Amino acid sequence: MEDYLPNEYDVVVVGTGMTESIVAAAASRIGKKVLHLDSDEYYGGLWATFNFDGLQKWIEDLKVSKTSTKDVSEVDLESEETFLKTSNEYSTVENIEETWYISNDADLPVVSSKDTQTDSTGDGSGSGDEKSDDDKVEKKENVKQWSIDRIRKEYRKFNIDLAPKLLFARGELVELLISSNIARYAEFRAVSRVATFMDGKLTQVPCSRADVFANKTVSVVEKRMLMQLLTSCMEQGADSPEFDGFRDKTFLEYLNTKNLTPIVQHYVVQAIAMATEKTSCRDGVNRTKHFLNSLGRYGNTPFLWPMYGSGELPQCFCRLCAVFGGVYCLKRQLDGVVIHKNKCKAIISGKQKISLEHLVLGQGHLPPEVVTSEGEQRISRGIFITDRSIMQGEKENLTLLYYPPEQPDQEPVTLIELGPSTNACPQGLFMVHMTCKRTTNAKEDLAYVVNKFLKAEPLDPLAIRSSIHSHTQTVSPDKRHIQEGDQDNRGESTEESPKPQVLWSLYLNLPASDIKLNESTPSNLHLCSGPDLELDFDFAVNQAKSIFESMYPDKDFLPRAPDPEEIVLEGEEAPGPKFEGDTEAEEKQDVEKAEKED
Amino acid sequence: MHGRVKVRTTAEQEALKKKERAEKLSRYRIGMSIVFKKRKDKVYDDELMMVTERMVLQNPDIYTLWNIRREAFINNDWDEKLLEEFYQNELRLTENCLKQNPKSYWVWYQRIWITNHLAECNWKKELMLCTKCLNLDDRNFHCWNYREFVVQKAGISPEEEFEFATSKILNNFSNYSSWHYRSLLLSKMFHNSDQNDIDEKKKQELDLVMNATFTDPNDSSAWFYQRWLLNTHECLATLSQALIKSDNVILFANKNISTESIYLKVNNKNENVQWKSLQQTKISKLWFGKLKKQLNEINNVQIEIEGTFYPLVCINQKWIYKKRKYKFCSNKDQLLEQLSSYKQLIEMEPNNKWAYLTSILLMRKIDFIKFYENILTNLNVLVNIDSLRSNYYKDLRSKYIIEYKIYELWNIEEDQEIKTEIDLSGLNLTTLSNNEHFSFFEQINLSANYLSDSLHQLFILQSCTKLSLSSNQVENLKKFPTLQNLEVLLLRNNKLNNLEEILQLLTRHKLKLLDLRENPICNTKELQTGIAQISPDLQLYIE
Amino acid sequence: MAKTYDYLFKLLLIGDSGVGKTCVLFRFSEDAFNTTFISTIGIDFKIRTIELDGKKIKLQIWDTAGQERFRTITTAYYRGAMGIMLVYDVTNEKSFENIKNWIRNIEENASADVEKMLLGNKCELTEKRQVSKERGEQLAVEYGIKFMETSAKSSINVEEAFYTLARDIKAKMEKKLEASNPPKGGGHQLKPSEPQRKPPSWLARCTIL
Repeated sequence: MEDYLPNEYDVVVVGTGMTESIVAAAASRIGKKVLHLDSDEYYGGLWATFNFDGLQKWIEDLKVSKTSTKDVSEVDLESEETFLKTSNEYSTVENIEETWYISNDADLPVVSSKDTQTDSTGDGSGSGDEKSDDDKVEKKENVKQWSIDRIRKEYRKFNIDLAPKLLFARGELVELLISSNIARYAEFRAVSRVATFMDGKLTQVPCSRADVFANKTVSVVEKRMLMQLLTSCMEQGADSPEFDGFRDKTFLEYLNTKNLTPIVQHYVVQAIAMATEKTSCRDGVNRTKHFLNSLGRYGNTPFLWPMYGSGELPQCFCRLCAVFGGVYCLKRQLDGVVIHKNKCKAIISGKQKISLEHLVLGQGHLPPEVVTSEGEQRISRGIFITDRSIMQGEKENLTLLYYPPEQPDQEPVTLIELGPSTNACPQGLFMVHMTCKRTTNAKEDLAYVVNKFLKAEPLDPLAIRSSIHSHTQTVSPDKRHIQEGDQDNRGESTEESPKPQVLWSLYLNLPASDIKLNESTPSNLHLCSGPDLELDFDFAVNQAKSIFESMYPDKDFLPRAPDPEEIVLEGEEAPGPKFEGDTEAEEKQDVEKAEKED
Repeated sequence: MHGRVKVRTTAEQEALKKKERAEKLSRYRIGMSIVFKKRKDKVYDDELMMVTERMVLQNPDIYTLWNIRREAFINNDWDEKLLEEFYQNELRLTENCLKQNPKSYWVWYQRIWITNHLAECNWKKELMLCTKCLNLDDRNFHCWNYREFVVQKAGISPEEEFEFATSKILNNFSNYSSWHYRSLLLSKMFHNSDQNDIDEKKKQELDLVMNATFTDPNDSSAWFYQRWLLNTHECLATLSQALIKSDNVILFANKNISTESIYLKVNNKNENVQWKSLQQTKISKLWFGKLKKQLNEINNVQIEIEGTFYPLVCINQKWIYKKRKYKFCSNKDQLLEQLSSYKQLIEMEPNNKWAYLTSILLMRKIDFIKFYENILTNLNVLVNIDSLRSNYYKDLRSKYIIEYKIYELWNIEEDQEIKTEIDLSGLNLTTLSNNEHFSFFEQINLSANYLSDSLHQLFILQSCTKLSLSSNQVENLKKFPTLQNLEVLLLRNNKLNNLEEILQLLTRHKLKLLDLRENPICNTKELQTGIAQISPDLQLYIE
Repeated sequence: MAKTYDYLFKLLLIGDSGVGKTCVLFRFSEDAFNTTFISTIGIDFKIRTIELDGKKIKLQIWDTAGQERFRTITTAYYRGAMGIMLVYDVTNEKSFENIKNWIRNIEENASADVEKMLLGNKCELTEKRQVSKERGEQLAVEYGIKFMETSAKSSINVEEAFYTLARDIKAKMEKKLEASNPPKGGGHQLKPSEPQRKPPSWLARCTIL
C-alpha cells in the first residue's frame, strides 16, 4: 500500500545521495517545506553503506528493473503540461562480479582446535607451525576459520561502502558539519597512516611533524629538505613567486629543481600530493597544501573516516532535514516530472501528483530528455574482505594508499583499508576498498594493484592452517610491548609478511559523475551527481552549495542548527511547575534576602 | 511562522548571561561570608565543606577556599571513617576542578596534599590520571610536575618512566615540559650509572634531539634540551685548581661542594682550615681558606675532595695544584659528525641562530683550543643575525676569550707555577663571566674593554693587588666591590664624575696608588683635598 | 566547557507515530505536558542530568524527528545508542503490534548490547484502552526487557522509567569496566571549538622571542 503524502512542497528532492541530502537539509533549515523521496528502501543511493546481507540484497535487486512503466496516457495532465518519464539509466551499476575465495562450513576439513590457535605469544612469523602443537597452547582462544556461512552469519558486523570516501580534517565537509551543527550526528576515526609503495615494499609516510621527527628511514638532512619543501608549499601557496617559473610545468618538474633526494621526492609526490607525472605544479602545490592544512586537527594524518561507513553522512543531513520538518518517504518511486512553460511544476509518484517550486534530482532519476552528456568520469571499484592488513603494524590501522600507475594505460588507484574498529568488518578481518577511473572494467582496471597487494586466489582448505598461524592482526599485549620498546618500526613496515588472503571480493563499475544537462532543462530542476573519483566529499558539498544558491540566492546555507537548550519552546514563558531549578530558586531568594541585610 | 525555530536572540542571551553573572556574584559573596564566619569561629563542619566545595567547583582558583579546606582536614573532629570519606571526596573534587581548569596551581597542590595524607593512596590511579591529562594537553607543566611526584611515590623506576617520556616526545617534540621531564629523569638515571652508561645514553639522546632540530630548526624546545645534553654531567666533584700561599688557601672544584667534603692534609694530617665562600653560601665551587697556623717544614700537602686525593706541589713557597688539559670527550666522533650535519643545516638555513650556537657548543666540547677561532667567527655571525641578543653573544665571546687566555697563559709555562699576572687588555670584553681562575691572580690588566656594567663581577678578584680598568667607559663606581688586597687601581680614561663614589671607594680600600687621569672628575676642585683627607699617603694621578 | 557529569548516556525513543514519544520526552526533560510543544521543530534531543549513587549522569534523549512516520528512520539514528525506550500507545492496538517490527529494526541497526525498555503510554486513558497491561508485560517478558505503563499527560511513571533504564545501563557499564573490558571506544566527534591546547597545526612549535 502506498503512503499518502501531502500534495504541495517548496522543494521535492528525489534520491538520498550526498548532494541531494545536503540540499534537502539546507532547504528545510531555512523553513522550506521539503519532501525527500527515494525509490530504494535504504538511504544513500550509490553512496550507501550496507551490511553484508543488505549488500547481497542490493546485488539481487540490481537484476530487477525499477524504471517506471507508467505511460503518459495514465497521467492526468492539464493543458500545456508535458510529462517526462524518468529513467534510472544514469545510475546503472555494471560489471558486477562477486567471488568467494573460501568455502562453506560443510566443505572445511576437520581441524582440531589445537591446530587452529592464534599464536598470541608474539611469534607471528608464520613459519612456526609445528610449535603450535605444543600442549601449552590449549588454553588459548579458539580461532574459527572464516567460512561463507560464518561471514553470512555475522552479516551485521559488516559495513560495506559502495563509494568509500575520506574527509580532509579541514575540508569542505568537516567545516560544514561543524558550522551547521550536523557533526553531532556522526562519529569519525582518524586515518592512522598514509602508506606508500617504495623500494619494493610498503612504508608509512611521515606526514606530521611528529612522524618526520620519529622517522628512521630518512637522514636528518632529508628531514630538513622535506620540511622545508612542505613548509614552503604550505605557507606560500601556489600563487607565490616561488612557483612563478612553473606556471605551465608539472609538479615533478618543479621538484626536480629542488635537489631533493629520491626518497623525499617520493613522499611528496606519491603520498602527500598524490600526484602523477602529469599533475601540474599548481595542482601539486595546492594538493600538498590541502593535505598539510588538515594535519594536526584530529589525528596523525589529515584524513577522517566516518564510523559505520560513508553512507552514514547523507543520513545525517537527512536527519537535520527531518528535524526541521522535512518529510521522508523511502521506497517511493518517482515516475516522472510534469513540465509547464519550461518550468518543472510537479512530480508524478504513484497515484499522486505532487506540486513543487524546486525539484532536486539525483542522477538516477533523470528524464533522458534533459541529459546532454552522459559523462566520462566513470568509476571502477573493488571491495575485498581479507584476513590481515596489507601492512602489519603493532595496532589496528586505518590505512590510505595511493598507488600510481605502472603502465601508461593504467589509472592511479586509491586504496583504503579498514579494520574492525571502524565497524567495517568483524574482529579478525579487514576490508579493502579500491577505486580508480574506469578504462575497461573494474576487475581489469584494478588487477595490477590487486595482484600487487592481495592474494586473490581460492584458498586451499589445506593451506588454511598455515594462514591462521601467521594471522597476527589480533594484537596480543605481549606483542605490543615488544614493539613499543622498539622505536624503529615507526616509519617502517615490519618484516616481510605474506599478502592478505582475499576471502570475498566484489567488483563493480559505478556510473559517471559528470553528467551534464542540456540548456533547455527547466531552471528549477537541479541535478545532483553520483559519487565522483576524488578522495573526499568536496565535490558533493560544492555542488549542493551551488544548487542551494541558485534556488535561494539570498539565504544562508545551513546556518548553525541551535542546540536543544537554545530553543525557546512555545509557551515557555508560563512554565509548569519546575523541578530542576527549584533549589536554585530558593538559593536566589536567600541571596536577595542576604543582599537586603547587607 | 511555520518551519521556523525560535531561538534566543543575542540581546536576550546577553540579558540572560548578565543575570546569571549577577546571580553568580551574589552567590559567591554569600558563600564567602559563610566560610569566613565559620573559619573565624573554628567551626569545621559538613556545611563548611559543602559550601566551599560548591564554590571551588565554580572558582577552582580561589586558594583561600582550599586553604580553609585543608584547615578543616587538620582541625576537625570527624571520626576516622568520615575523614577517609572526605579525603576520597577531595580526590573527586580536585579531579572535577582540574577538568575545568587543568592549569590551576592550587588544585594540583591540594591534590598533592591530599594524596600525602591518605592512609593508602592508589598511586597507579593517580598515574593514570596524569597520563589522561597529558593526553589532553601534553604541555601542561602542572601535570608533569604532579607526575614526577606520583612516579616517586609509586616507586616507578626512572628507566620505566623514561619510556613513557619517550612516547610523549615522539608524539610531540615541540614541548618544553616534555624535554625538561626527560632531562630530570636522565639526571636521576645518571645518578646511579657509571660514566660509560651516561655517555652511551647521552649519545642516543644527542641523536634523538638532532632529529628534532632538523625537523623544525625554529622550534626552540629541542635546542634547549640539546644544550642541556652538551653540558657535562659529572657525578663526582673533582678539584680543578688549588693554591696555598702563606696562610691563604684558594681552591675551586668542577661543581658545587660543601666544606664538609674538603680536607687539607699536611704531612698526612688533617689541617684545621676556616673556609669561606664568596657569597657566604653553604655550597660553592670556589672556596677561600685561612690556615690556623703558618705551614713550616712541610713534606707533602694533599687536598681531599669527596674521597679523592689531590697532591699539591711546592714552587717558590707556594703549594699548587692544577688540572692541566681540557677534559677528554668520550664521543668525539659522534660530535664531529653532528658538527658537520649542523654545518649543512647552516647552509640550508643560513639565518638559523640555533644551528650556529649549537655548532659553537659542539666545537667547544670537541676541542675548544683547536676550534677557538671558528667559535669566535660563529659568534660574530650570531651578533649580526640575532641582533636582539647581541649582548648575550658578546658576553659569551668574552667568556671564551678569557678561558682561552687563561689556558694560553698556564699551558705554555713549563715550571708549573701559577702565574699571578694576566693581561686581558683590549679584548672587547663585556663580562668577566664568573671565571673562578680570576681569584688566583694578583695583577690583572683589564684596560681597554667594555666592563663598565660588570664592575660587580670584580668581586671574584680576591687575590688582586694591582688592577687596571683604564679605558673602560666606567661612569660610576657604585658597584665596585671591596677587594681587601687591592693596592693599585688604574682608572685612567674613564667617565668618572662623582667625587662621593671615589671617596667611598677609598674608605673601603687601603690603596697605595690611584690613577684617575683623563676623567671628568679631574676638573673637580675638591677632588684632591677630599682624597687627601681620607688617604693622605695615596699616590694619586690626576694629570 | 568542562564536563560536569560522570557519564553520558545516549537514549532513543522509538515507536509508531502518535504514541506520545515526544510527550514522554518533554515530560521527563521539562516536566511539562503541552501539546503545542509537539509542533516545535528543530528539537533533536533533550538533555537532563540525573544523579544515581552519587554519579552525575547526563541523559541525552533523542527523538525520531518524525522519520518514523513512513518507517524511514536513518540507520545513523541508532548509532552509539546505549538505551532505547520502545513506546506504544495503550489505546492503539496497531502501535503495540508494531513493537515487534521496531525491535527487529533495532536488532538490525543498533548495537547488540543496547539496553531496551518497553513503555505503554497514555495509560490515563482508561476508557479507550485497547492493550491490557498484561499483554504489555507478556511482550516484555518475551524479549527479556523491562516494562512500565506510563502517562506523559498525568506524569505517571515517566521519571521512574528513565531512572530504571539509566540504572540498568550504568550497571552494565560498570560491570564492563570492572571486568577491565571497557566498551569499545567510539570515534571522534567533531567539535566546533577544537581542542585548543593541542598544537593547532603543522607549524605549531615552541618559540621564545
